Amino acid sequence: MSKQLAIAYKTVIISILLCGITLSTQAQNSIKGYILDSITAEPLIHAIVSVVSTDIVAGTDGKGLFSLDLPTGAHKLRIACLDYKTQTYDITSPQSYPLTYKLQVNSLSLEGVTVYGKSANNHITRTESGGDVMNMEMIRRIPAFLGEVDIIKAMQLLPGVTSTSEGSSGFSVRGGAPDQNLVLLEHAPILSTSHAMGFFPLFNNDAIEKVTIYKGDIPVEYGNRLSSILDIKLKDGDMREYNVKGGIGLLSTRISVDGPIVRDKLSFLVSGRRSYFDLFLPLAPDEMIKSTRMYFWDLSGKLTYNINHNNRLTFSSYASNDVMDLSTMGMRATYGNRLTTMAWEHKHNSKLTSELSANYIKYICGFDIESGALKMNSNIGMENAGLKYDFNYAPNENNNISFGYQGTLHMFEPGSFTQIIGGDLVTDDTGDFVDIGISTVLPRMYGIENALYIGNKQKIGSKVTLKYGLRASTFSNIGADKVFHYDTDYNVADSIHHGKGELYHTAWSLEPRLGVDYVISNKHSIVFNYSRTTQYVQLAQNSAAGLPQDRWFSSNPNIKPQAADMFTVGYFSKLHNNSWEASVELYYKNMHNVIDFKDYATLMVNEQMYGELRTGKGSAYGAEFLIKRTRGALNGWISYTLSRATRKINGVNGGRSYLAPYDRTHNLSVVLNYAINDRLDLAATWVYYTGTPYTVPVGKAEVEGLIIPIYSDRNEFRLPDYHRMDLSLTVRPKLTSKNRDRYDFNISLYNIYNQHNAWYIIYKSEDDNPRETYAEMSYLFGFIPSVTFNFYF
Amino acid sequence: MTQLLKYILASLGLLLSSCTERIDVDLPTSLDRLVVDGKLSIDTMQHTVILSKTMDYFTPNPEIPYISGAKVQITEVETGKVYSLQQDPYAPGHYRTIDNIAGIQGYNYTLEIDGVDIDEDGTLERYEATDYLPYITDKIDSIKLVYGYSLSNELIGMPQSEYKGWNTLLYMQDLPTHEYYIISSERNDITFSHLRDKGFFDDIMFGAEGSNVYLNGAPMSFMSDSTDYQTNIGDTIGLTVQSTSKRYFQYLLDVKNANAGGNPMMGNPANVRGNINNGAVGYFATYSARASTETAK
Repeated sequence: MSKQLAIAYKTVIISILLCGITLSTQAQNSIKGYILDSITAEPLIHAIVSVVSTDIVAGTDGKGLFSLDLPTGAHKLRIACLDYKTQTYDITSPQSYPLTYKLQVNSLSLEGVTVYGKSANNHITRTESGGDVMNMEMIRRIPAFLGEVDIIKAMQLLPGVTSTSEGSSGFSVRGGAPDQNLVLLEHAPILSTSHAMGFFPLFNNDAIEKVTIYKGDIPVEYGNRLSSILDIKLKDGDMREYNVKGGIGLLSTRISVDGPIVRDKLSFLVSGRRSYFDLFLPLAPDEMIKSTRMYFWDLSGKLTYNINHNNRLTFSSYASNDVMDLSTMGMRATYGNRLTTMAWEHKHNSKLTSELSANYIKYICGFDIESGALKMNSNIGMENAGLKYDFNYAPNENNNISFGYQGTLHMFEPGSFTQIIGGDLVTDDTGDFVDIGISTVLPRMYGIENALYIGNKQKIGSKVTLKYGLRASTFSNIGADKVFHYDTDYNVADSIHHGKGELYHTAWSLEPRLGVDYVISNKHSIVFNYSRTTQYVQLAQNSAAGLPQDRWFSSNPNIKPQAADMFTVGYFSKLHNNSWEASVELYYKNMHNVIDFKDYATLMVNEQMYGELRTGKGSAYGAEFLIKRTRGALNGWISYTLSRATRKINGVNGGRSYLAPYDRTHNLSVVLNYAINDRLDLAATWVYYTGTPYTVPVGKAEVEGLIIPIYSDRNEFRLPDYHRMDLSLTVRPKLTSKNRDRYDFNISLYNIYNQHNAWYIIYKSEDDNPRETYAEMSYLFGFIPSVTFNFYF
Repeated sequence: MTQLLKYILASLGLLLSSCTERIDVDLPTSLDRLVVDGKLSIDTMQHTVILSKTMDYFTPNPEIPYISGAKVQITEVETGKVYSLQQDPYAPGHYRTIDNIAGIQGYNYTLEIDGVDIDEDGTLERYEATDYLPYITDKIDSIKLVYGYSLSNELIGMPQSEYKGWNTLLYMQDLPTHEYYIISSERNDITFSHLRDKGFFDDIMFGAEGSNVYLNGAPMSFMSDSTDYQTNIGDTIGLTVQSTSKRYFQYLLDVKNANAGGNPMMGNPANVRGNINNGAVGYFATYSARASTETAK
């Protein structure tokens, strides 16, 4: 074996073991290719590509892309992947563009699958503690609420991740608030992550390639959130064949089409979805609901252009809208996302690659009433324009350096509110009739965020990998803006007007990252990570469930950026011939300048909203356990988290420490998939967690002829514990060589034992004896069956 | 009004999605606290302060634990004049002034309560509260009664019920300062004084603070035929407009919302914002008021 090939071999193996990053040697020709599922056209991120009769081997990355350096001439590629038939292809080096290879599912037997890719090993040596990848096939097997496959709800089954409330796409990671999670779609942030007040997923799952969550040590290339990064990638369109995928559910229909525009060079993906639960609302007994029109839609698209070996362009776009129209009240509420992103991947040489991306996003929420003499209008929103330039430099087999720049222009639309009541009701001092009304228009606010970052993954010997890096970030507020100053009682002391374009305040932060990965043996490893993260923008949300009208705002002279120091220690193990994985992670997170709100805070359309905020300290700590069976007809995982999250903020709860809103002492998820036979898959999930902290009445008093509650300390008590079991059955047609998986039926049974889980408890007086009081629990969903028909062409 | 907007959104969310059922909750108890419900207006009359204490939330068949034996007085801050209140021998916990006292617009009044031991630790406690008595226009020019569907609902776009009733329209000069008005109604000799029956409006609705407009028949109350408020031809309807401090106005809204049980989308539950110190619950309120009557015909 030549020295170069030996180095290549080592490099590739190390890369596969570490994180799937494929490095190249300086061989004569670089060969690239995509490996996809033959039916679904999904990229296979676990595939191993080897060159027959050589030691050359490579793994696929998150896009299903592999890269090999080969001498000129003919070769045989052997491609293997867990659960797929191993196949061999003839190729000729060099090639001018990446080829696409499709593997068939090896559904009848696992025999013959002898090569296990990254997924089987990544818990052993991963340095991105908390960087969990879930492939879409795994997510689709999980029973889905109303049949709507939801990547965020799937993430909520992982240790350390929990839902904010039943059925919600909001999630909390390691005791953090939902706005401390950055959800990225093709590099661009998504600000509203669900449809229909949080109950339906924002994305058509057919368009999603993979989802990665970084819940602990957030890599240096990401920032501006304390708790997690949820990185969602759209699929690339098929470069050779046209594919159609879709599904018809009880409440929505989805369809995705992808294929080549120019064979092997340019492909497209278009994916759309529309709900039709507005068709069922007229059946409701309540007149107001009956006349309500409520629906959502979303549309995604992606163009992929493989220019040549070294250059690749992608253009992605996403749009969504939710509409709620109450004709009896003349009311219409709409909200939605708009997103566009372009990315250019470039390979400078065998050691240096880069990706330049630019994105623009917009979130808009409008609310209008026009009824009788009343006209009311309210708008809120946010726009971002972002630029990111990532470089990856691998000078040798032991170092992998990432560095780059990220800049984002934030434009906050804090809201406007106009209410006009016409009619001859009021006259001014001249005797003329005037409309009654108020109008508050808060000016648009601007901020610019810049970050430079560099990090290295350095392998020392065969057992130790160091990961270290630094992210330096700034956030500057830009005029025009009127900034209020507050005294110690949060009353307005004075205000300053900053002119247009004036950069009037800058906050900055150094965010070091440090990780050590020690491989005890090829089955056991230990990981330690430390990270500091900083967050400059956050959501003004103080309700138990979020509203579309909740407003994003930035740090400024009144509010320092939030920061967190996170320490994580993890132990990872692989058992029984790699068919079982087990891990334990301990974490401690210390948060600074965390935000809460004073009692009775007015957050909407309030130019003095910063006076309603209170800041202080927060902490979260816990132990996360995961055991997973990765192979066999029966597979799945059990995750358990034992945790505590608290806040201590002057001006909230009398300055005393209190439980964070999403503190869960125990959080247990069981996910099981069972392939009964070639045509039937059964899946089950069971979720249990300690009840959400809330504030209860500890007494009552009579004033003004009414009984009022006297409340406990904030979040001093808990709702009843939550638990629920879901089942799903997927039925496919009989397997033949022609019709395999052309369609299937998915039957989902949500909350199969009809548990009434408390969403909220309110305390009220009896109508006939107001001094008598009672507790009333609101719950959202009992047992709900649903059927979805999925098809593939 | 942004609260109204938020409330509409919140209600819609709940309406469209949730189910309810009564449950048993094992609630803890807390230390007793003094409860104060006191008022002083510009009307020459006997004014009352009611003292009681808090109860466990699920106390069965609760009787209000009124507080007797307290020393209660009201001081007119600007003049130093002190009014002592005497306990009503027939109404436990009710402390009253003599019957010819009237508050003065623009003055501040302080309530002092001594000689009570609410926490039963053997040490007597002292409580205090101060409120501002705001101005109000000299008189209501008139009210007008109009039979039909609710004009208020029509104006703000709320759905009409199937019942008609009597609308009361108000003709009154607003002051140039920022007023907080509370509206209550009466029919013949029945006063609808329950907080749920009262209307609230902040004159910021008329424009910027300091606006000086004339209310030219603004609908202020609706006596629906479907309810206890049903009014017949010949009945007399009265309308009272109270001008209160901003803090008392907020307090009454807090009480109204707290009594309704709260809303998960309206923020964390919190105790009503009273003005009594030392951890007591309740409010000592001073207000000015004008009233007018009209016969339904």
